[in-house]
Amino acid sequence: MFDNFGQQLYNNFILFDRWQLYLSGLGNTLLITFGAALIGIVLGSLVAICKVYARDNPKLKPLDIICDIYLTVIRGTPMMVQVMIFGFIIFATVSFSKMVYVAMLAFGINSGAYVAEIVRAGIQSIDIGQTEAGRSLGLTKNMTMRYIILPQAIRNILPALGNEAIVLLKETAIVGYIAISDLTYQATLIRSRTFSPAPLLIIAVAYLALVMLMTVGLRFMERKLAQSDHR
Amino acid sequence: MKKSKFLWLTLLLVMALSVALVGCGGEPAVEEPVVPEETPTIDRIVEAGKLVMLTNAAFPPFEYLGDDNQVAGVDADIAKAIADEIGVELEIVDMDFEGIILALQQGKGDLGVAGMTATDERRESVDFSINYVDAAQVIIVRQDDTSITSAEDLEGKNVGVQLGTTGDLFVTDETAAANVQRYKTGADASMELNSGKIDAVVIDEMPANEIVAASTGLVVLEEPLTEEQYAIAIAKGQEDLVAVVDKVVAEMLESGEIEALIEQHKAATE
Repeated sequence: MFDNFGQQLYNNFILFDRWQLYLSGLGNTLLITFGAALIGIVLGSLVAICKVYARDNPKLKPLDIICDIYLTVIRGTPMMVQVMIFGFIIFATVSFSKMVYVAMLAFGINSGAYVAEIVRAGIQSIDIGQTEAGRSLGLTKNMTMRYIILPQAIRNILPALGNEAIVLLKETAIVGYIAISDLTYQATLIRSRTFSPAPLLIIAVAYLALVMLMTVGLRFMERKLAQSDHR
Repeated sequence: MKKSKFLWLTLLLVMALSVALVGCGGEPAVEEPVVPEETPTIDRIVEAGKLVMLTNAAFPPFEYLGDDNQVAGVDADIAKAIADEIGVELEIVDMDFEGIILALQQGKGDLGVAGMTATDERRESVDFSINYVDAAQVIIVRQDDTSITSAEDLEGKNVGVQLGTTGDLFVTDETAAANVQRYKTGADASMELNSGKIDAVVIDEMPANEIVAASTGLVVLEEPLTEEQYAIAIAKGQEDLVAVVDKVVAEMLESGEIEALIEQHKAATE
């Protein structure tokens, strides 16, 4: 399968400037990942806060039920099926050039469900004494949440959030199903011309490099946030 | 979804009819003469300024990744001629083969030009232009494997096909293959054939020749399995577009242009 590997690598990467295809695919992969991560964090935090507030406020029960339905449906169906439902049913009439935004939304909504559970766990992991202390100092409930609970929670959940971002990046490899040319799709396209497995190894290296970069970035952030620990 | 769409359409039609009848106010209905010049689809395409062709660029020489990293091939050139005839730009969208007909129905593209065989099953979903190429399904095997020489020999074998193609339908319905492995592209199937995971690949003749030329140790069996014709798929109810496509394709067939394009693109990919 890998006779004269160097030649195959050349044919699948350098010949006819094919690296440009990988690059444009990489652009779409990154665009979808970052867009989805943003949507996911905002949506997830909102849902988590709703659920935490609903715990001791019966008036918010309907909101809690809506959040539960969202979490159940999104976490209960495969991402690939969700992407296809978004692409072929909900946004069926969106033109191909705007499909990348549909994917962003689909992945963002999906990621939001997982982020919500991470954030909720983070908030609940903060000792109740912190809330009591904040409230007895005269802070309102919202202020306690914003200035005392959330900063500590975010520090605790950062590794889990980073993990979610890494999963998200790799999961975007399925967007080819709705005719978006991401990194994986471009590899398939080149493979269809060269009949060589080399593009798969090329994109594997590209994904690995991206994930390693993200890991380094996350470590850095974790270290920064941990500085307040030295007291 | 199709059924509910149909219901909605029926409902709309009934409503429109009743409005029309009320509007008539009892006067005798005057039958509108059919105006042949009316070309709603063409008008829409002209207004959009582009003709959108849907294809799966993994089917040389009909569509493949060109040396300029754009989709090239016989089908792309035919679609270009059609776009020129209408006087608009051509936009080519590369997607999964099995998604093309659905995308046409959803109005995401105007033409499905993908070396697509005009089967009766597909005719239920889309209209087809006149045929532009005679094609056949063939079997690819490994050079050192002499156990398969005809369709009957596929019995009990692991056979690879491209998902949703006529080769897929043929192997699934007509042969006694032990296992039908459906791949996204012919390239995937040929890779698995090369590595010995499957025993044969059934695919269209011309892409088969390309695959064999590009990889070592594979051969195409002489005897074709089926005979079929490729045509251009167009969403239903767009007779004006079908007429233009038919006209362009007929001209290109008559002048021998399509024949020449096939030779040209074969040479370009080998």
